[in-house]
Amino acid sequence: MSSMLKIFVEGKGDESFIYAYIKHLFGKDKADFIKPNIIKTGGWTKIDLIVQQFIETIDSNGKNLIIFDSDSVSNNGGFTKRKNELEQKKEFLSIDFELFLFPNNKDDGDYEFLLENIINQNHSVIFQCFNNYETCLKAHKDDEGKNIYNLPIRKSKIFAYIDAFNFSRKQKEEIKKGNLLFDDSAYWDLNCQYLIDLKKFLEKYI
Amino acid sequence: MYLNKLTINKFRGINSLEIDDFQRINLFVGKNNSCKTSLLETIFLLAGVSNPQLLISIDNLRRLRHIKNEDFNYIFYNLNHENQLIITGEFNNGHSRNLHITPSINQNFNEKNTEVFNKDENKEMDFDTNSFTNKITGIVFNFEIKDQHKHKQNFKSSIISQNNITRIDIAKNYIETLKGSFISSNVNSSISNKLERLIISKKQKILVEILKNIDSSINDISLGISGMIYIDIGIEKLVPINILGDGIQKLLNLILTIIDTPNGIVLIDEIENGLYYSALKVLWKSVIEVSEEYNVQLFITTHNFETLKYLKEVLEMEEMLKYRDYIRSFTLRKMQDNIIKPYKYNFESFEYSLEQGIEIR
Repeated sequence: MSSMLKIFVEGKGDESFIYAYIKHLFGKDKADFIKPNIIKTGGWTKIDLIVQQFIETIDSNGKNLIIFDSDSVSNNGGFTKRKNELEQKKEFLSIDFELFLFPNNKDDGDYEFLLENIINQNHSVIFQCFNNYETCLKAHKDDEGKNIYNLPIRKSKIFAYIDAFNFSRKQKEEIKKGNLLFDDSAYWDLNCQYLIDLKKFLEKYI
Repeated sequence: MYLNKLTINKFRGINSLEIDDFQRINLFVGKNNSCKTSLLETIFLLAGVSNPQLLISIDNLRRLRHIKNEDFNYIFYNLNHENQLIITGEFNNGHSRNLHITPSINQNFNEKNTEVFNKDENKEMDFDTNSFTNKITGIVFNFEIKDQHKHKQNFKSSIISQNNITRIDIAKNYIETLKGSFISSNVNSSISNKLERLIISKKQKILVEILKNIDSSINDISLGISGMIYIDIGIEKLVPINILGDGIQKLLNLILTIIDTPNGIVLIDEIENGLYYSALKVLWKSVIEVSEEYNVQLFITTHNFETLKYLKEVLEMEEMLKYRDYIRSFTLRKMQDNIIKPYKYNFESFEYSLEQGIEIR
Protein backbone atom coordinates (compact mmCIF):
# COMPACT_ATOMS: atom_id res chain seq x y z
CA MET A 1 0.00 0.00 0.00
CA SER A 2 1.18 3.55 -0.75
CA SER A 3 2.30 5.72 2.14
CA MET A 4 -0.82 7.82 1.77
CA LEU A 5 -4.07 6.79 0.15
CA LYS A 6 -6.99 9.13 -0.26
CA ILE A 7 -10.37 7.98 -1.53
CA PHE A 8 -12.61 10.72 -2.87
CA VAL A 9 -16.31 9.86 -2.86
CA GLU A 10 -19.46 11.90 -3.48
CA GLY A 11 -21.39 11.89 -0.21
CA LYS A 12 -21.81 10.36 3.23
CA GLY A 13 -23.67 7.29 1.94
CA ASP A 14 -20.79 6.45 -0.40
CA GLU A 15 -18.31 7.10 2.40
CA SER A 16 -20.11 4.69 4.66
CA PHE A 17 -20.35 2.00 2.00
CA ILE A 18 -16.70 2.26 0.94
CA TYR A 19 -15.57 2.05 4.56
CA ALA A 20 -17.73 -1.03 5.12
CA TYR A 21 -16.53 -2.68 1.95
CA ILE A 22 -12.85 -2.04 2.71
CA LYS A 23 -13.47 -3.47 6.17
CA HIS A 24 -15.07 -6.52 4.58
CA LEU A 25 -12.18 -7.01 2.15
CA PHE A 26 -9.16 -6.04 4.22
CA GLY A 27 -10.21 -6.06 7.87
CA LYS A 28 -11.14 -3.44 10.45
CA ASP A 29 -7.61 -2.20 11.19
CA LYS A 30 -6.93 -1.29 7.59
CA ALA A 31 -10.39 0.23 7.16
CA ASP A 32 -9.96 2.36 10.28
CA PHE A 33 -6.56 3.48 9.06
CA ILE A 34 -7.99 4.59 5.72
CA LYS A 35 -11.24 6.05 7.09
CA PRO A 36 -9.94 9.58 7.85
CA ASN A 37 -8.82 9.76 4.24
CA ILE A 38 -12.17 8.88 2.71
CA ILE A 39 -13.17 12.36 1.61
CA LYS A 40 -16.69 13.50 0.81
CA THR A 41 -16.36 15.84 -2.14
CA GLY A 42 -19.97 16.70 -2.85
CA GLY A 43 -19.61 15.52 -6.44
CA TRP A 44 -17.34 15.71 -9.44
CA THR A 45 -17.98 19.39 -10.13
CA LYS A 46 -16.44 20.30 -6.76
CA ILE A 47 -12.98 18.88 -7.37
CA ASP A 48 -11.56 22.32 -8.17
CA LEU A 49 -12.37 23.47 -4.65
CA ILE A 50 -10.44 20.66 -3.00
CA VAL A 51 -7.60 20.35 -5.47
CA GLN A 52 -5.05 20.91 -2.68
CA GLN A 53 -6.11 17.60 -1.14
CA PHE A 54 -5.07 15.83 -4.33
CA ILE A 55 -1.77 17.70 -4.55
CA GLU A 56 -0.95 16.91 -0.93
CA THR A 57 -1.24 13.18 -1.62
CA ILE A 58 0.87 13.41 -4.77
CA ASP A 59 3.59 15.35 -2.90
CA SER A 60 3.65 12.56 -0.32
CA ASN A 61 4.11 9.96 -3.07
CA GLY A 62 0.65 8.67 -2.20
CA LYS A 63 -2.28 7.66 -4.34
CA ASN A 64 -5.61 9.36 -5.00
CA LEU A 65 -8.63 7.21 -5.80
CA ILE A 66 -11.86 8.69 -7.08
CA ILE A 67 -15.04 6.66 -6.72
CA PHE A 68 -17.92 8.63 -8.19
CA ASP A 69 -21.20 7.91 -9.99
CA SER A 70 -21.28 7.36 -13.74
CA ASP A 71 -24.80 8.78 -13.73
CA SER A 72 -26.94 8.39 -16.81
CA VAL A 73 -27.61 10.25 -20.03
CA SER A 74 -30.94 11.45 -18.60
CA ASN A 75 -29.14 13.35 -15.81
CA ASN A 76 -26.39 14.70 -18.05
CA GLY A 77 -23.93 11.92 -17.33
CA GLY A 78 -23.16 8.38 -18.38
CA PHE A 79 -20.05 6.27 -17.98
CA THR A 80 -18.14 7.48 -21.06
CA LYS A 81 -19.11 11.12 -20.64
CA ARG A 82 -18.28 11.29 -16.95
CA LYS A 83 -15.02 9.44 -17.43
CA ASN A 84 -13.98 11.91 -20.14
CA GLU A 85 -15.00 14.87 -18.03
CA LEU A 86 -12.92 13.64 -15.12
CA GLU A 87 -9.92 12.89 -17.31
CA GLN A 88 -10.12 16.46 -18.62
CA LYS A 89 -10.34 17.74 -15.07
CA LYS A 90 -7.25 15.73 -14.20
CA GLU A 91 -5.31 17.39 -17.00
CA PHE A 92 -6.64 20.87 -16.35
CA LEU A 93 -5.83 20.78 -12.64
CA SER A 94 -2.51 18.95 -13.14
CA ILE A 95 -3.45 16.30 -10.63
CA ASP A 96 -3.34 12.55 -10.63
CA PHE A 97 -5.92 9.96 -9.56
CA GLU A 98 -7.23 6.50 -10.35
CA LEU A 99 -10.88 6.39 -11.26
CA PHE A 100 -13.76 4.02 -10.58
CA LEU A 101 -17.28 4.95 -11.58
CA PHE A 102 -20.30 3.36 -9.89
CA PRO A 103 -21.94 1.00 -10.43
CA ASN A 104 -19.25 -1.23 -12.00
CA ASN A 105 -16.85 1.02 -13.90
CA LYS A 106 -18.39 0.21 -17.26
CA ASP A 107 -22.13 0.90 -17.17
CA ASP A 108 -24.19 4.01 -16.62
CA GLY A 109 -25.64 4.22 -13.14
CA ASP A 110 -24.78 5.24 -9.64
CA TYR A 111 -24.25 4.24 -6.03
CA GLU A 112 -27.94 3.49 -5.51
CA PHE A 113 -27.99 1.27 -8.58
CA LEU A 114 -25.05 -0.66 -7.15
CA LEU A 115 -26.87 -1.11 -3.83
CA GLU A 116 -29.94 -2.43 -5.61
CA ASN A 117 -27.73 -5.17 -6.97
CA ILE A 118 -26.13 -6.21 -3.71
CA ILE A 119 -29.13 -6.67 -1.43
CA ASN A 120 -29.60 -9.95 0.36
CA GLN A 121 -31.66 -11.85 -2.20
CA ASN A 122 -33.80 -13.38 0.54
CA HIS A 123 -35.50 -9.98 0.69
CA SER A 124 -35.84 -9.26 -3.02
CA VAL A 125 -39.59 -9.32 -2.54
CA ILE A 126 -39.29 -5.81 -1.05
CA PHE A 127 -38.24 -4.47 -4.43
CA GLN A 128 -41.13 -6.29 -6.12
CA CYS A 129 -43.50 -4.53 -3.73
CA PHE A 130 -41.76 -1.25 -4.38
CA ASN A 131 -41.99 -1.73 -8.15
CA ASN A 132 -45.74 -2.37 -7.79
CA TYR A 133 -46.02 0.88 -5.86
CA GLU A 134 -44.16 2.70 -8.61
CA THR A 135 -46.31 1.11 -11.32
CA CYS A 136 -49.41 2.12 -9.43
CA LEU A 137 -48.23 5.74 -9.16
CA LYS A 138 -47.38 5.84 -12.85
CA ALA A 139 -50.94 4.84 -13.73
CA HIS A 140 -52.26 8.15 -12.47
CA LYS A 141 -52.00 10.73 -15.26
CA ASP A 142 -53.45 14.19 -15.79
CA ASP A 143 -55.47 15.25 -18.85
CA GLU A 144 -52.27 15.80 -20.83
CA GLY A 145 -51.05 12.32 -19.99
CA LYS A 146 -48.39 13.48 -17.56
CA ASN A 147 -47.72 11.79 -14.22
CA ILE A 148 -49.71 13.43 -11.44
CA TYR A 149 -47.42 12.14 -8.71
CA ASN A 150 -43.67 12.35 -8.38
CA LEU A 151 -42.20 8.98 -9.03
CA PRO A 152 -39.97 7.78 -6.24
CA ILE A 153 -36.32 8.29 -6.94
CA ARG A 154 -33.93 5.40 -6.49
CA LYS A 155 -32.71 6.80 -3.18
CA SER A 156 -36.25 6.22 -1.86
CA LYS A 157 -36.13 2.66 -3.11
CA ILE A 158 -33.00 1.90 -1.12
CA PHE A 159 -34.36 3.58 2.00
CA ALA A 160 -37.69 1.75 1.53
CA TYR A 161 -35.68 -1.50 1.43
CA ILE A 162 -33.77 -0.89 4.62
CA ASP A 163 -36.76 0.75 6.29
CA ALA A 164 -38.77 -2.44 5.85
CA PHE A 165 -36.84 -4.13 8.66
CA ASN A 166 -37.22 -3.77 12.40
CA PHE A 167 -34.29 -1.98 13.96
CA SER A 168 -33.22 -0.80 17.37
CA ARG A 169 -33.12 2.93 18.05
CA LYS A 170 -29.33 2.88 17.75
CA GLN A 171 -29.49 1.15 14.36
CA LYS A 172 -32.08 3.65 13.17
CA GLU A 173 -29.77 6.49 14.13
CA GLU A 174 -26.95 4.89 12.14
CA ILE A 175 -29.22 4.54 9.11
CA LYS A 176 -30.15 8.23 9.36
CA LYS A 177 -26.44 9.05 9.22
CA GLY A 178 -26.11 7.17 5.92
CA ASN A 179 -24.74 3.93 7.35
CA LEU A 180 -27.19 1.40 5.93
CA LEU A 181 -25.68 -1.41 8.05
CA PHE A 182 -23.59 -2.69 5.17
CA ASP A 183 -21.61 -5.04 7.32
CA ASP A 184 -24.72 -7.00 8.23
CA SER A 185 -25.17 -9.86 5.80
CA ALA A 186 -28.84 -10.09 6.75
CA TYR A 187 -29.41 -7.06 4.51
CA TRP A 188 -26.45 -6.87 2.11
CA ASP A 189 -24.33 -9.35 0.21
CA LEU A 190 -20.84 -7.92 0.05
CA ASN A 191 -19.56 -11.17 -1.49
CA CYS A 192 -21.81 -10.90 -4.50
CA GLN A 193 -20.39 -11.07 -8.00
CA TYR A 194 -21.68 -7.59 -8.83
CA LEU A 195 -18.93 -6.08 -6.68
CA ILE A 196 -16.10 -7.90 -8.42
CA ASP A 197 -14.91 -4.85 -10.42
CA LEU A 198 -14.88 -2.64 -7.36
CA LYS A 199 -13.07 -5.38 -5.42
CA LYS A 200 -10.36 -5.64 -8.10
CA PHE A 201 -9.99 -1.86 -8.19
CA LEU A 202 -9.51 -1.56 -4.43
CA GLU A 203 -7.21 -4.57 -4.25
CA LYS A 204 -4.92 -2.90 -6.72
CA TYR A 205 -4.26 0.06 -4.42
CA ILE A 206 -4.87 -1.12 -0.86
CA MET B 1 3.43 47.44 1.83
CA TYR B 2 2.33 43.81 1.85
CA LEU B 3 4.46 40.72 1.99
CA ASN B 4 3.63 38.69 -1.11
CA LYS B 5 6.13 35.92 -1.07
CA LEU B 6 8.47 34.32 1.46
CA THR B 7 11.38 31.94 0.99
CA ILE B 8 13.11 30.30 3.94
CA ASN B 9 16.29 28.31 3.86
CA LYS B 10 17.52 26.43 6.94
CA PHE B 11 15.80 28.17 9.82
CA ARG B 12 15.16 26.13 13.02
CA GLY B 13 13.31 22.94 11.89
CA ILE B 14 12.73 24.21 8.35
CA ASN B 15 15.12 22.92 5.73
CA SER B 16 13.33 24.90 3.04
CA LEU B 17 9.98 26.55 2.44
CA GLU B 18 8.59 28.71 -0.32
CA ILE B 19 5.19 30.31 0.06
CA ASP B 20 3.44 32.98 -1.98
CA ASP B 21 0.17 34.73 -2.72
CA PHE B 22 -0.23 36.16 0.76
CA GLN B 23 -3.25 38.37 1.38
CA ARG B 24 -4.11 40.78 4.17
CA ILE B 25 -5.04 37.99 6.58
CA ASN B 26 -3.03 34.79 6.35
CA LEU B 27 -3.67 31.68 8.38
CA PHE B 28 -1.11 28.98 8.93
CA VAL B 29 -2.60 25.69 10.00
CA GLY B 30 -1.02 22.29 10.39
CA LYS B 31 -0.16 19.52 12.77
CA ASN B 32 2.21 19.90 15.69
CA ASN B 33 5.78 20.45 14.58
CA SER B 34 4.77 21.67 11.14
CA CYS B 35 6.86 24.80 11.83
CA LYS B 36 3.97 27.29 11.99
CA THR B 37 5.61 29.37 14.71
CA SER B 38 8.98 29.28 12.95
CA LEU B 39 7.30 30.71 9.90
CA LEU B 40 5.97 33.63 11.94
CA GLU B 41 9.42 34.17 13.39
CA THR B 42 11.04 34.48 9.97
CA ILE B 43 8.52 37.12 8.95
CA PHE B 44 9.20 38.96 12.21
CA LEU B 45 12.96 38.92 11.52
CA LEU B 46 12.35 40.12 7.99
CA ALA B 47 10.16 42.99 9.24
CA GLY B 48 12.95 44.07 11.60
CA VAL B 49 15.71 43.10 9.23
CA SER B 50 18.31 45.45 10.72
CA ASN B 51 17.80 44.40 14.31
CA PRO B 52 19.67 41.25 15.40
CA GLN B 53 18.29 41.57 18.94
CA LEU B 54 15.01 40.22 17.59
CA LEU B 55 16.69 36.89 17.41
CA ILE B 56 17.07 36.79 21.17
CA SER B 57 13.48 38.04 21.55
CA ILE B 58 12.05 35.18 19.49
CA ASP B 59 14.12 32.67 21.41
CA ASN B 60 12.89 34.14 24.68
CA LEU B 61 9.29 33.90 23.50
CA ARG B 62 9.90 30.17 23.16
CA ARG B 63 11.46 30.19 26.61
CA LEU B 64 14.86 29.47 25.06
CA ARG B 65 17.23 31.38 27.30
CA HIS B 66 20.49 32.85 26.05
CA ILE B 67 23.04 31.98 28.71
CA LYS B 68 26.07 31.07 26.67
CA ASN B 69 27.25 31.89 23.16
CA GLU B 70 26.30 28.44 21.85
CA ASP B 71 22.68 29.49 22.38
CA PHE B 72 22.97 31.58 19.20
CA ASN B 73 22.72 28.23 17.42
CA TYR B 74 19.01 27.90 18.26
CA ILE B 75 17.92 29.60 15.05
CA PHE B 76 20.02 27.49 12.72
CA TYR B 77 18.73 24.38 11.02
CA ASN B 78 19.65 21.33 13.10
CA LEU B 79 21.22 23.77 15.62
CA ASN B 80 24.22 23.95 13.33
CA HIS B 81 25.42 27.44 12.40
CA GLU B 82 27.25 26.07 9.38
CA ASN B 83 23.87 25.76 7.67
CA GLN B 84 23.22 28.76 5.41
CA LEU B 85 20.28 30.63 6.94
CA ILE B 86 18.59 32.84 4.36
CA ILE B 87 15.18 34.48 4.52
CA THR B 88 13.83 36.35 1.51
CA GLY B 89 10.63 38.36 1.28
CA GLU B 90 9.02 40.03 -1.72
CA PHE B 91 6.51 42.80 -1.19
CA ASN B 92 3.59 43.98 -3.30
CA ASN B 93 5.25 47.29 -4.15
CA GLY B 94 8.23 45.64 -5.80
CA HIS B 95 10.40 46.01 -2.71
CA SER B 96 12.27 42.93 -1.52
CA ARG B 97 14.45 41.97 1.44
CA ASN B 98 17.06 39.28 1.66
CA LEU B 99 18.41 38.42 5.09
CA HIS B 100 21.43 36.20 5.39
CA ILE B 101 22.17 35.33 9.00
CA THR B 102 25.68 34.14 9.65
CA PRO B 103 27.51 33.25 12.83
CA SER B 104 30.30 35.40 14.16
CA ILE B 105 33.28 33.20 14.91
CA ASN B 106 36.12 34.30 17.16
CA GLN B 107 39.33 33.15 15.45
CA ASN B 108 41.52 33.76 18.56
CA PHE B 109 39.27 31.70 20.71
CA ASN B 110 40.88 28.51 19.46
CA GLU B 111 44.46 29.25 20.47
CA LYS B 112 43.72 30.83 23.85
CA ASN B 113 41.51 28.08 25.08
CA THR B 114 43.67 25.27 23.80
CA GLU B 115 46.52 26.79 25.75
CA VAL B 116 44.55 27.02 28.96
CA PHE B 117 43.33 23.46 28.65
CA ASN B 118 46.85 22.11 28.03
CA LYS B 119 48.20 23.76 31.16
CA ASP B 120 45.62 22.20 33.41
CA GLU B 121 46.36 18.48 33.59
CA ASN B 122 43.32 17.77 35.74
CA LYS B 123 40.95 18.95 33.01
CA GLU B 124 39.76 16.63 30.33
CA MET B 125 41.79 16.96 27.18
CA ASP B 126 40.00 17.37 23.90
CA PHE B 127 41.92 15.80 21.08
CA ASP B 128 39.59 16.92 18.33
CA THR B 129 41.49 19.60 16.44
CA ASN B 130 38.26 21.17 15.19
CA SER B 131 36.52 21.38 18.51
CA PHE B 132 37.35 25.02 19.16
CA THR B 133 37.61 26.32 15.66
CA ASN B 134 33.91 26.91 15.17
CA LYS B 135 32.94 28.59 18.42
CA ILE B 136 30.11 30.97 17.79
CA THR B 137 30.30 34.32 19.55
CA GLY B 138 27.39 36.08 17.95
CA ILE B 139 25.25 36.64 14.93
CA VAL B 140 25.61 38.85 11.88
CA PHE B 141 22.62 40.06 9.87
CA ASN B 142 23.74 40.65 6.30
CA PHE B 143 20.80 42.08 4.43
CA GLU B 144 20.06 43.35 1.01
CA ILE B 145 17.20 45.74 0.29
CA LYS B 146 15.92 46.04 -3.24
CA ASP B 147 13.50 48.83 -4.09
CA GLN B 148 10.84 48.84 -6.79
CA HIS B 149 13.39 50.09 -9.32
CA LYS B 150 15.60 47.05 -8.59
CA HIS B 151 18.12 49.34 -6.92
CA LYS B 152 20.04 47.24 -4.38
CA GLN B 153 21.66 48.27 -1.12
CA ASN B 154 23.56 46.03 1.29
CA PHE B 155 23.76 46.47 5.05
CA LYS B 156 25.15 44.69 8.05
CA SER B 157 24.11 44.51 11.71
CA SER B 158 25.47 42.27 14.40
CA ILE B 159 25.19 41.15 17.97
CA ILE B 160 28.43 39.76 19.38
CA SER B 161 29.18 38.57 22.86
CA GLN B 162 32.77 38.40 24.04
CA ASN B 163 34.35 38.44 27.49
CA ASN B 164 30.90 38.92 29.04
CA ILE B 165 30.30 42.04 26.98
CA THR B 166 27.54 42.06 24.38
CA ARG B 167 28.01 44.52 21.57
CA ILE B 168 25.17 45.39 19.25
CA ASP B 169 25.90 47.16 15.96
CA ILE B 170 22.88 48.29 13.99
CA ALA B 171 23.40 48.99 10.30
CA LYS B 172 24.27 52.62 9.72
CA ASN B 173 22.40 54.57 7.03
CA TYR B 174 19.48 52.15 7.16
CA ILE B 175 16.12 53.50 8.24
CA GLU B 176 13.43 50.91 8.91
CA THR B 177 10.08 51.79 7.37
CA LEU B 178 8.21 48.66 8.30
CA LYS B 179 6.93 47.80 11.75
CA GLY B 180 6.29 44.25 12.91
CA SER B 181 4.70 43.02 16.14
CA PHE B 182 4.68 39.50 17.48
CA ILE B 183 1.97 38.17 19.78
CA SER B 184 3.19 34.96 21.30
CA SER B 185 0.98 32.19 22.67
CA ASN B 186 3.19 32.01 25.77
CA VAL B 187 3.69 35.51 26.99
CA ASN B 188 1.18 38.07 28.22
CA SER B 189 2.65 41.29 27.01
CA SER B 190 2.02 44.56 28.72
CA ILE B 191 -0.78 46.42 27.02
CA SER B 192 -0.80 49.61 29.05
CA ASN B 193 1.70 51.45 26.80
CA LYS B 194 -0.30 50.65 23.71
CA LEU B 195 -3.51 51.71 25.43
CA GLU B 196 -1.91 54.96 26.56
CA ARG B 197 -0.99 55.80 22.96
CA LEU B 198 -4.55 55.03 21.88
CA ILE B 199 -6.07 57.18 24.61
CA ILE B 200 -3.72 60.08 23.74
CA SER B 201 -4.90 59.90 20.15
CA LYS B 202 -8.50 59.88 21.47
CA LYS B 203 -9.36 56.64 19.75
CA GLN B 204 -10.28 54.40 22.67
CA LYS B 205 -13.91 54.38 21.50
CA ILE B 206 -13.04 51.75 18.91
CA LEU B 207 -11.92 49.42 21.72
CA VAL B 208 -14.99 50.04 23.83
CA GLU B 209 -17.24 49.14 20.88
CA ILE B 210 -15.39 45.84 20.44
CA LEU B 211 -15.45 45.00 24.15
CA LYS B 212 -19.19 45.73 24.26
CA ASN B 213 -19.66 42.72 21.98
CA ILE B 214 -18.23 40.52 24.72
CA ASP B 215 -19.82 42.33 27.66
CA SER B 216 -22.53 44.87 26.86
CA SER B 217 -22.11 46.56 30.28
CA ILE B 218 -18.68 47.95 29.32
CA ASN B 219 -18.99 51.73 28.79
CA ASP B 220 -15.43 52.98 28.83
CA ILE B 221 -11.80 52.04 29.29
CA SER B 222 -9.12 54.10 31.03
CA LEU B 223 -5.59 53.91 32.35
CA GLY B 224 -4.55 54.50 35.96
CA ILE B 225 -1.30 56.23 36.92
CA SER B 226 0.28 52.92 37.88
CA GLY B 227 -0.43 51.46 34.44
CA MET B 228 -3.47 49.54 35.66
CA ILE B 229 -6.27 49.37 33.09
CA TYR B 230 -9.77 50.12 34.32
CA ILE B 231 -13.15 49.38 32.81
CA ASP B 232 -16.36 51.28 33.41
CA ILE B 233 -19.18 48.75 33.67
CA GLY B 234 -21.77 51.21 34.92
CA ILE B 235 -21.27 50.71 38.67
CA GLU B 236 -20.02 53.37 41.08
CA LYS B 237 -16.34 52.53 40.73
CA LEU B 238 -14.10 51.67 37.82
CA VAL B 239 -13.13 47.99 37.75
CA PRO B 240 -9.57 46.75 37.08
CA ILE B 241 -9.57 44.81 33.80
CA ASN B 242 -7.91 41.81 35.50
CA ILE B 243 -11.21 41.12 37.25
CA LEU B 244 -12.92 40.56 33.90
CA GLY B 245 -10.72 37.58 33.05
CA ASP B 246 -7.92 36.62 30.70
CA GLY B 247 -10.09 36.47 27.59
CA ILE B 248 -10.90 40.19 27.59
CA GLN B 249 -7.22 41.03 28.14
CA LYS B 250 -6.15 38.75 25.33
CA LEU B 251 -8.66 40.32 22.96
CA LEU B 252 -7.59 43.77 24.09
CA ASN B 253 -3.94 42.92 23.47
CA LEU B 254 -4.67 41.64 19.96
CA ILE B 255 -6.67 44.67 18.95
CA LEU B 256 -4.30 47.16 20.56
CA THR B 257 -1.31 45.53 18.88
CA ILE B 258 -2.94 45.78 15.46
CA ILE B 259 -3.88 49.42 16.06
CA ASP B 260 -0.35 50.10 17.31
CA THR B 261 1.22 48.66 14.14
CA PRO B 262 -0.29 50.84 11.38
CA ASN B 263 0.80 49.89 7.85
CA GLY B 264 2.79 47.06 9.39
CA ILE B 265 2.78 43.35 9.99
CA VAL B 266 1.33 41.60 13.04
CA LEU B 267 2.19 37.99 13.77
CA ILE B 268 -0.17 36.11 16.05
CA ASP B 269 0.74 32.68 17.36
CA GLU B 270 -2.21 30.47 18.31
CA ILE B 271 -4.80 33.20 18.12
CA GLU B 272 -7.42 31.32 20.13
CA ASN B 273 -5.21 30.82 23.20
CA GLY B 274 -6.95 32.02 26.34
CA LEU B 275 -10.21 32.83 24.59
CA TYR B 276 -13.52 31.12 25.20
CA TYR B 277 -15.21 29.83 22.03
CA SER B 278 -18.05 32.32 22.29
CA ALA B 279 -15.52 35.17 22.00
CA LEU B 280 -13.99 33.82 18.78
CA LYS B 281 -16.65 35.38 16.58
CA VAL B 282 -16.09 38.80 18.15
CA LEU B 283 -12.37 38.25 17.86
CA TRP B 284 -12.44 37.51 14.13
CA LYS B 285 -14.84 40.30 13.28
CA SER B 286 -12.76 42.83 15.20
CA VAL B 287 -9.42 41.58 13.91
CA ILE B 288 -10.59 41.72 10.29
CA GLU B 289 -12.16 45.17 10.55
CA VAL B 290 -9.36 46.76 12.57
CA SER B 291 -6.65 45.31 10.34
CA GLU B 292 -8.35 46.90 7.35
CA GLU B 293 -8.77 50.25 9.06
CA TYR B 294 -5.10 50.40 10.09
CA ASN B 295 -3.80 48.69 6.95
CA VAL B 296 -2.12 45.87 8.84
CA GLN B 297 -1.14 42.56 7.30
CA LEU B 298 -1.74 39.63 9.61
CA PHE B 299 -0.09 36.23 9.85
CA ILE B 300 -1.86 33.94 12.25
CA THR B 301 -1.32 30.36 13.38
CA THR B 302 -3.94 28.00 14.73
CA HIS B 303 -4.60 24.30 14.94
CA ASN B 304 -8.04 24.71 16.41
CA PHE B 305 -11.07 23.66 14.37
CA GLU B 306 -13.46 26.00 16.21
CA THR B 307 -11.25 28.96 15.35
CA LEU B 308 -11.51 28.13 11.65
CA LYS B 309 -15.22 27.47 11.91
CA TYR B 310 -15.90 30.85 13.51
CA LEU B 311 -13.80 32.63 10.90
CA LYS B 312 -15.94 31.00 8.23
CA GLU B 313 -19.12 32.02 10.05
CA VAL B 314 -17.95 35.62 10.40
CA LEU B 315 -17.15 35.84 6.70
CA GLU B 316 -20.61 34.52 5.89
CA MET B 317 -22.20 37.50 7.64
CA GLU B 318 -23.76 39.95 5.19
CA GLU B 319 -21.62 42.91 6.29
CA MET B 320 -18.40 40.85 6.11
CA LEU B 321 -18.75 39.40 2.60
CA LYS B 322 -16.44 42.08 1.21
CA TYR B 323 -13.56 40.74 3.30
CA ARG B 324 -13.57 37.24 1.79
CA ASP B 325 -10.84 38.02 -0.70
CA TYR B 326 -8.61 39.15 2.19
CA ILE B 327 -8.24 35.63 3.49
CA ARG B 328 -5.71 32.93 2.68
CA SER B 329 -5.29 29.75 4.62
CA PHE B 330 -2.12 27.72 4.24
CA THR B 331 -1.90 24.16 5.46
CA LEU B 332 1.71 23.39 6.29
CA ARG B 333 2.97 19.85 5.88
CA LYS B 334 6.41 18.61 6.78
CA MET B 335 7.77 16.41 4.01
CA GLN B 336 10.85 14.26 3.85
CA ASP B 337 14.12 16.04 4.75
CA ASN B 338 12.16 18.70 6.66
CA ILE B 339 11.00 20.47 3.54
CA ILE B 340 7.81 22.32 4.42
CA LYS B 341 5.10 22.46 1.79
CA PRO B 342 2.21 24.92 1.97
CA TYR B 343 -1.22 24.05 0.58
CA LYS B 344 -3.17 27.17 -0.22
CA TYR B 345 -6.91 27.72 0.28
CA ASN B 346 -8.78 30.84 -0.77
CA PHE B 347 -12.01 31.61 1.04
CA GLU B 348 -14.19 29.60 -1.33
CA SER B 349 -12.12 26.44 -1.00
CA PHE B 350 -11.59 27.06 2.73
CA GLU B 351 -15.35 27.39 3.27
CA TYR B 352 -16.17 24.37 1.15
CA SER B 353 -13.59 22.15 2.83
CA LEU B 354 -14.91 23.02 6.28
CA GLU B 355 -18.49 22.37 5.16
CA GLN B 356 -17.55 18.96 3.80
CA GLY B 357 -15.65 18.10 6.96
CA ILE B 358 -12.38 17.87 5.03
CA GLU B 359 -9.35 18.09 7.30
CA ILE B 360 -7.28 21.11 6.34
CA ARG B 361 -5.41 21.40 9.61
